[in-house]
Amino acid sequence: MNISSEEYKELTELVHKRSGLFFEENKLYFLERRLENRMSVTNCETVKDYLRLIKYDIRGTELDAFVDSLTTNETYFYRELPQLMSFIQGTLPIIMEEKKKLGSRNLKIWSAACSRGCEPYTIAMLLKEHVPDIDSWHVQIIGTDISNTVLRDCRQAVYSERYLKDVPPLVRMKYFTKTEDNDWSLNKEIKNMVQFSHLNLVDRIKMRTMAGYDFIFCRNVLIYFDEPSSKQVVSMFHDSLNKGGFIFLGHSESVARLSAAFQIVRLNNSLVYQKS
Amino acid sequence: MADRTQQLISDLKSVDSITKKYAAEDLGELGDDRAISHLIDLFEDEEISVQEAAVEAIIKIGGTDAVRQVAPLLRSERASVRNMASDILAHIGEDAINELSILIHDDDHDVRKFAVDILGLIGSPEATEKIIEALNDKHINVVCGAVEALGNIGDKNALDALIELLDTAEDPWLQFMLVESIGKMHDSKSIKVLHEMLKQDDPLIIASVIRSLGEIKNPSSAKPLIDMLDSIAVSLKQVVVGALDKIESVEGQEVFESLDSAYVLDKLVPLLNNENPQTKKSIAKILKHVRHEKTIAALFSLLGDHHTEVIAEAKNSLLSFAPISHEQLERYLSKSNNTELKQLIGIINDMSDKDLSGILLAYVDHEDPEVRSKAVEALGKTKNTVGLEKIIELTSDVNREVQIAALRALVNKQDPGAIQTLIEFLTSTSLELSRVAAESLKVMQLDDTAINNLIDLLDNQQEVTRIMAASILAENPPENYVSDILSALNSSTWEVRKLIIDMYGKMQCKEVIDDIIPCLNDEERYVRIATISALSRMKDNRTIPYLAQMLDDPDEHIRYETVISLKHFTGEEAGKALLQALEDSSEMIRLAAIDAVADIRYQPAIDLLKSMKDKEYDDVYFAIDEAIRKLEQ
Repeated sequence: MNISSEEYKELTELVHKRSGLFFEENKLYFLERRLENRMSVTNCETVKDYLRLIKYDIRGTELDAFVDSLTTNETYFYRELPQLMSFIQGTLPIIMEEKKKLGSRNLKIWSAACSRGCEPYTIAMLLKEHVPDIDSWHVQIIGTDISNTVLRDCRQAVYSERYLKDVPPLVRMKYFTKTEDNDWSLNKEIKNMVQFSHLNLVDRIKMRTMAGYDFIFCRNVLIYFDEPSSKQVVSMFHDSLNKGGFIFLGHSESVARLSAAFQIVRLNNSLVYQKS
Repeated sequence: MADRTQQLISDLKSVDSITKKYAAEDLGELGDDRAISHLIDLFEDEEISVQEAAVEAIIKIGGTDAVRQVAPLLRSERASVRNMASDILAHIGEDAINELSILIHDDDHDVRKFAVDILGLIGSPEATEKIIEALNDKHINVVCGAVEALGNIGDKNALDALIELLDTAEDPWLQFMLVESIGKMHDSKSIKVLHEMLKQDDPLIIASVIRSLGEIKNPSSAKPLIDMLDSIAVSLKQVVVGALDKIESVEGQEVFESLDSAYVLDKLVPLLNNENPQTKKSIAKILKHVRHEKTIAALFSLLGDHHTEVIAEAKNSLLSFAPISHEQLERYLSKSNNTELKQLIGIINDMSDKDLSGILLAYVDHEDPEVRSKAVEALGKTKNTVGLEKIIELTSDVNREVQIAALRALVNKQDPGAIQTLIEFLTSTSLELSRVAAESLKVMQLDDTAINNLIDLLDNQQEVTRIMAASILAENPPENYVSDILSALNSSTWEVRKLIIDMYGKMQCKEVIDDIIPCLNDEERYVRIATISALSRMKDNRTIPYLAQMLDDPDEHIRYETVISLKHFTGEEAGKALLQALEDSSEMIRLAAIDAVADIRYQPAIDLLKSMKDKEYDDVYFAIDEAIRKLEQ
């Protein structure tokens, strides 16, 4: 592909401004094929023509389509289970106890940048499996992503074997049905527990509408953002959480590095971050 | 704007934290420096998230006003306020240097230290000069801060000053900081003094010296570092290996090749028992340069490691020993467990200069699906058709990954049976399998039977199959089948219509012009765009009036595609159409048209371009200048 360093810089800056995603100079290999694909769809013969299209298109539809093509990351069910178990066994009982005291039986959980939906669905399965009275609670699990493509997949909830590699056999039998093509379709019981919606984490206006959450999961997402964008996102997560609510980031990501507004709490041998 | 600023400043005093925070964020976006003092007031807010929003807002506003108001906060009694002030000044950068230059001579050594730290974060040449001045400070904390800052900046202009200070430094902490910073300068000028310091007793300083020698990557450090492996603690051995790894990374030095291979193996192989994966990875990397009969065995032993990065490095080094004999490979395979097997089969073709199909066939029925996958993948890379039947059989394996590996393995087999199998998978109800089959077919040479089969699939009842077939044909346009594919222009799937039109465009097939012109009115935007593009590639002036009509389309993308397509033509008719586009209401289209008239050298556009200059600014203004310059040349 014929792309100059100025064009690459302009392209990555446009993506960054729109989505917070940050691509360093050595990430051309990652963008190249996706760029070629979008140029082919839009019949742009040169990078210059394509750049002009995404830069000046007022509605931003093509830039969104390009960003969409950059964000379909691999994920799988039951990923990083110890952290999820610290949610189930450590933080969830605390919030449920507090809610009961206040006479509320509402739980609101947000899986941010949920990709193909494995994380919010895993949370739903874990709640079913480990919280005996979960049916007497009104649980809202919201999965959001910037990519409309993956959101379509989330709602369809059909997965190939590799997404289920870490799912315990009994859980697999209970909540999945094998399709004719040897894929796995998630049962309605779990599907109905999760709603999906489109959301760009650096869209300040839309992020302000996300409020009242008890838990936010945003694991292995901020690694794709630069520091200012990560700070902005974590700050907005803070606004979205109820007082006492918890946030879970990936193991290599640190809330403390980005904001001092969260309290570090040690629960069941793992560190979690709580809105104080 | 002023009212909005006042309203937000007033919101900063709200009792509601979220209101205050949103106001701070919005003031940052507005960039109005009247908000700075009010934002600073929020540093006392009880909510940390509000304080942080105020800091981010001041950083966004920036400028010398912000510096002037924030700098005095470095004297605050509260550490959190001092930290916020430091953060702001560091992010503001160059605009803060003058103020900080004054503060490095402040009476209070804490303020001097803050100033040095912030200058270090700014890191510009001007900031570096100021920090070098602070090396003469009378307070050790300020000096250490300056040394650390200079190391982080890495500006070699500071190296002489640091080496000079190392000669006289007595404080062990300062010595440590100096060695670390000197290392970060990556300059061989400091090698002599650092080699001398390897004789020190203090393990903290020795570790620092070793790290620095690694950073400097000078070949002369390899031998003294290897020599010391026998006499130091395990933790230091890991540091030595890390330093050797860095020295190895400099290309073309042949550092380890020049040492006695038995001696190097003797020192490094025992360290493979180390638990640290980074140490094992580094040794695997270094062993690539140690030509000795025992090296290959050491590297094979790492293929069963638990850490993927260790395995990857061992594989990489093993490849440098290729070719390895059939017998040797079979011996290692027979001794391998499943983990080692997967890794070894993954690189086996590259390890030998002979055909290994015979060996690989023994593993395609292995009980472990990952081994089967790797074996079929490796079999696919061989240049003959040995095992082709087996590969085709594995496309129906019970395991999806094996199926995918088998479909991919068929790519190199230019065999009618392989192509037929792949075409059959295009009708699979599994999107994943049909995609893999399509990707394989796109890079194969297709015979007449295959092309006829693909044309038939353009009418398949399954939509995804129709799209895959069209995408393969679009990738390899079959020139003898132009008329056979025309009916696909009426496909009910827009992707098929687009791909087929793209295909005709690639073929520059003028005989279908009349057939595709109606597609300019297709209901799907991307089909219309593809049609414009295809017609322009055919470069037939008859199509210009049809394309020019598209400049009146209400869809901006359609008009844009028309403008960039008109660049394929020269002459009056295309030029006139572009003149119309120069007056389009969309900036994007005007920009494209400006480029296009310059590209096709349409000089009658000069007058219009000159008259446009008064009305345009920024990108469009400069594009007009550039276009006029090109046209007047």
